[in-house]
Formats: sequence, C-alpha cells, structure tokens
Amino acid sequence: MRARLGAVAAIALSGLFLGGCSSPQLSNESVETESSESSKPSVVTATTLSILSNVQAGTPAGDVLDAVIATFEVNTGAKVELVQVGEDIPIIYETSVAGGKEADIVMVNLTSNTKPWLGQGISVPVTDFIKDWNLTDSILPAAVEIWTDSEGRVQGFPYSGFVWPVWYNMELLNSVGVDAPPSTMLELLYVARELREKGIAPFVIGGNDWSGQKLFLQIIQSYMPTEEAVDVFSTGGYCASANAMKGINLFVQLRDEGVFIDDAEGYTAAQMNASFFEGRAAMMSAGSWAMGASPEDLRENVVLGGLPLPSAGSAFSKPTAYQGYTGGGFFVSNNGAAEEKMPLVKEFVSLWYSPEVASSWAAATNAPNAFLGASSLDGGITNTLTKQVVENFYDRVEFAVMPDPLLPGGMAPEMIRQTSLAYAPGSSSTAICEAIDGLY
Amino acid sequence: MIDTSSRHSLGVRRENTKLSFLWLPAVFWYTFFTVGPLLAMFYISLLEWPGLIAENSFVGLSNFEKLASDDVFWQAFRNSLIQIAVVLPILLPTSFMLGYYLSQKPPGHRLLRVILFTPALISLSAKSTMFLAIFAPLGLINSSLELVGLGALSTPWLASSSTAFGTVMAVELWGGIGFTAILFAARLSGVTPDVFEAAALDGAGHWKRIWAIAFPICREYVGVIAMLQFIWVMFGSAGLILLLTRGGPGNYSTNLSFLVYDTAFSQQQIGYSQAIAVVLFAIVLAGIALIRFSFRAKE
Repeated sequence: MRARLGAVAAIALSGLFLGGCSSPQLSNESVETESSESSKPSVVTATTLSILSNVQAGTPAGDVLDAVIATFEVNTGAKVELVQVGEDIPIIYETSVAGGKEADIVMVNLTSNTKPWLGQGISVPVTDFIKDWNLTDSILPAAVEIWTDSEGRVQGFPYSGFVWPVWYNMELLNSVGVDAPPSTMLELLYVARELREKGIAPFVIGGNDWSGQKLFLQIIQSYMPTEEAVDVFSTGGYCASANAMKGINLFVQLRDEGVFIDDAEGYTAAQMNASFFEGRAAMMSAGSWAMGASPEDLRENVVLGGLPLPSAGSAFSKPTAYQGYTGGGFFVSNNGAAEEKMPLVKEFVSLWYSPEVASSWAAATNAPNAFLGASSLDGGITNTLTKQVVENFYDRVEFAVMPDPLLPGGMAPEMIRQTSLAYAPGSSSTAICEAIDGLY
Repeated sequence: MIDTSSRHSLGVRRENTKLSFLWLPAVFWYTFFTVGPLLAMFYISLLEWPGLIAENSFVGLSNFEKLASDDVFWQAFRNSLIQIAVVLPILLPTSFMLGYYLSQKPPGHRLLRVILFTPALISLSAKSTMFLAIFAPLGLINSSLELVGLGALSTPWLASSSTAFGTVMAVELWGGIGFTAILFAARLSGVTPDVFEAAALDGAGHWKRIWAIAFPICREYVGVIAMLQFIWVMFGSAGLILLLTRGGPGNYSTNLSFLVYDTAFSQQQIGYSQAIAVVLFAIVLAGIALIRFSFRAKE
C-alpha cells in the first residue's frame, strides 16, 4: 500500500500526463459530533452527497437527474455536489480515488472498465443494500444477475437498460421495391445493391467509433453459439475460432459488396445518426437512446428490426439485436458506504426506484430499464419507435451477446481503432482477426 | 602585502554566499517540481502498475524489454520520426520566409499579422472540432471536391490509413506556420533595414536577402525556434491526435507522445507508458543536442 501511495505521489508530481483527466474535487463533508455525555462518538448524517455521473446535462435524462436531485435536497435537507463527465468517467473516478477524493455515488454503465472496481476495492457490493432497502421487488432479476460478479456480489444498483436494433427506413426501401426489412444476408446484399443503384447509401454506421465496433462484433457472432461468443470476447482467439472467422468473412463480404456507406470507417455515431435522420441512408444500427432525438416525421417510416442472418448455418433463429441492463446504474464508493453517508445514499438510490422517477426515466430514455413495476413503456407512449419496442420488437428478434462487459479492461479504445480499420476497403479477414487477437 | 584583486574576489564570494540563502528556496522549489517529476518518470518506468488505483510492483527493466518487441511502439516511433521529418522542414523555412516578408512591412502587413496569428488564438478543442467537420466524410473538403468534379478524390481523411496521419500533420502546420512567422518577424524587425537596402543595391533579390543575409543574422534564434517546435511536435502533439483520430485507424496515426497517453489512460499500463516516456525523453534530448549543434552561431 505504501508503495502504491508513493507511486501515486510520484505520478502526481510528474505532471507528465496530458491534461483532460483531472480528478474532480468532490467534497465529502460530513458532520461528526462527539456526545458530551459519553466518550463514544456518535455519528450523524452527513450534509453533503457527492455524485459523479455520466448523465449529460441538458438531455432528457439529465433533466430527470436534476429533478431527482432537487427532490432529494428538499426531502433530506442535504446538498448534492454533482460532477457530470463524459466517456472518461472510469479514469476520472479512479484518479479521484487515488487522490482520496472520490464521489459517494458513481452513476455509470457496467463495462469492462467499471467491472473491476469491486475487485479492486474501490466500490462496495450492494447485495445486502438491495435487500435491506426493500429494493428486491423493484429491480429486474435479470438485471441483478448481469450486475453480479463471479463471487456472487452485486456490483451496483442496476438501473438503465437499452435495446439496440437495426433501423430500417421503409420509405427508402419501398422506393427500390422492397416492402419488408431484409431477414437474410442475401436479402441484405440485394437491398444494398438496389439502393446503391438509386444513389441511396444502404447501411450507415459509425465505423470510426464504438457504434462500428458493436456492429462488427454483432456480425461476427452470426455463426457463434452464445458460449463461444462469450469465450472469444473474453479471452480472444478470433483467428482460431472457425465460427468467428466465418463471421469475419461475412463482415468482409458485406463491406466489399457495398452494404456499408462509402467511407464508413470515417463516420462517428453522431454522423451516422445525422445521415439516417436526414434520409441519406436506409439502414443503421443504433440504440434506443437515439429514439428520442429522431425526427418525428421520420419515425413513421422506420421499422425497428434485427440484423439479418446468414442464409445457412446461423447460430440464431431470428435477426439479431442487442439488449442490456448495463446502460447505467449506481456504484457506491467506500466514501458512500461510510456510516454517516449511508442514510443519504439510501435515500438517493431509493428515490430512483420510486414509480414517479422510474416513469420519468423510462420516458426520457425510451428504453426498457432495469426497474420493475413503474414503466411508462406500458402506456402513454408518444414516441412511435418506443411503441414498436414495447409492442412487437421482442417477438421479431433474438439477442446477441453484448460484448462490453466481457472485453478485458481498457481494451475497448484499441479495439475500436482496429475495427475502424476493418471497415476500410482492403483489410483481409486474416489481418482483421490477427489485429484483434493481438489486443488480448 | 595583500593583493587587492584577491581581496575583491574574496568579498564577492562572501557576498555570493550570503545571496545563496536567498536563492536556495527557489532552487529547492524548482528541483522539487521540475527534477522531481523527471525522476518520478524514471522510477515509474520500472514498475508494473496496472492502473492508478491498483497495486504496483518493481519489475526492473522488463518494461523496456517489452518495448523492443512491441509493434505498436515501433509504429509510433516511426510515426514520430516521420512527423519530425515532415513538419519541421516545412514549418521553419515557410515561417521564416513569411516572417521576412512581414518584417519588410508590405501594404496590409498589420492585417496579415492578425490573420497569421489567428490559429494561435483558437483553443486546441475548438480547432479540432473545426477540423473534424472539415475532414468528415461529408465535410467541407469532400463536399468541395464533389462540387468541382473531383469526387473520386474524396476520402475519410481522418479515418483512412493512408491520410489520417498526414492530415494531423497538416493541421499542425496550419496552426504552427503563422505563429512562428510572427516570432521570426519580431526578430527580423530588430535587424537594421540598411542591411537589406545595401544588399538590394548590390543586386540581391529577396531570395538571396532571406537566405544569405537574414538567416545568418538570425541563425541562433532560428535554432531556438526549431528546438521549441521540435519539443512541441514530440511532446505536445498527443492532444491533437487524441481529439482528431485517437491514434487510429489501427495505429496509423499513433505517435510516441500519444502512445504515452494511451497506454497510461486507456490501457491502464502506467509503468509501461512511462517506459515509453523515457524513450521519448531520450529522443528529445538527442534531438535538442542535434538542433543546437546545427544552429550554433558560426565563429
């Protein structure tokens, strides 16, 4: 431990790293008083709760967060110190832990970067809290299972979920004589050819970022049974897996036959959304978080479906999509688990599972979430895409293995650089699998 | 008989000894915050340290041994050399000529100074956002190419393996040439105009006046600017790469300074990242020595 602190001090001194990863200065004020009557100190509730969150301000979800904080402050009289950050949240939290200034609660998704926290002792298991705070009936058991580590400890309170379908612009598909989303890869190739002949970009994807990485990993598991996909994503061996290689060959075929938009390797998720929303591309792979931002007049033309299957030998019986309950949740830090903080942490987390807040969150995120009994998805839905998800989406797709929690920690950025290269014409299947295996 | 000069030097020494108490705190401060980090870098490079909050252990030189067989490191090493070989030979002469031109105070030179200095007034983030839009698949460059019938030349500039790193270097040059030209112009303004007028009377054209007169006069100054630009390119370009390409596609735009960042913060290999930083430090030291040698004033 001393060596670790020494090294932390050394790195703090060095200042050699780039800026942009400053640790948030989160206060952990608490009030500790000594009883005048007894020598035993009595601990009273803290007056401040610090929260580090990746929920962005100014978004519908951010508005819900603001409202929850306001309610919490009124209910408890305590003050919330909120720090909102972006994709760098894991390293920001870890830096703050190294500096002894970590937040009490971290609102973040469960990924390969956040999964090690419990094992590293920088977050606490919430298994008992779920029971003690009567939240068992409020949380979807499947979500709890995903958030449970190999030792049976629940790593955080699961909250946000998502579905990740393929979006089909039926107006554009109809314009080339296609009246239903393709269900096989052969059909997809045909549709892509027809669309290209008409000057319409077929499948837009953010080949330059995580959205392209997810589609790549979805395509390559077309032939892989679940266990094999889990194994390959966790430990590598893409080149050695015949099924993974068949999937990579399929990806290369789709790329080379022009299914993806030209220069797909240069697109980001934001540019992908913009292209699809503006009707410049007929298909895209995007999560439920994009539904709220989609133009209303486009929604009527969109059918949400799955990724078509190979014509033979598929590991699935229906087109595939992703779903998950790892989209967001609440980690409790050691600071948050301190006795004087516990009442505030309990109040804050419990508030999120109240029917009102859960409904607001569901409406804001347009997705099935990890909580039970209070989903606005059951009624009063105004977004027609969300309505599709609730009404018939689950019958039409089968869910592929979500790779994020399985990839070794810290690998995602490197893998994204390699999958970006895979979208560029000329990369062979062997080069792609070797590059990805080289990351493990 | 006491030698007065010895007495004088003794007095000066005593005075210096007294003064040393005044500058000692500054030396300590400087040592702590400047030499300390340097020593920390060397120390950390000897550790296996998988993340800021993880335990670390002393592994000797194994991080350096790992470098030898790390393809990504060698690719970054090559990219850094390419970057220096491309950026400095374009930036310095172009800036010097522009600086000379400005120092001649041509009509509109004040406006030109403002225009040339503008890139230095734009933050790295704003600059990167602008260039992300310019080089996007449907961005300004590709749209313009399409407009003039050269659509076949359009490409995802920041995501193509053949153009990503070149594009980053182009942005670097865009930001550096004007600013450096202003620095050169400031130095050349201190040269008496008579020198250039006399050369003109002797029939020397602008080209000759720049390279046969202005450059030798400013030789040492050019050396200092070359050194600063070299340091910036080697150490400071990671920010631009992070914001524009994140080192991709693959590792085609990864250079050493970005790799130091990436291995530390993305891959959580802090000891290894500092081993790369040590190599980078050595390269920069050697480069500085070479630049000082090349630009030292001729006797």
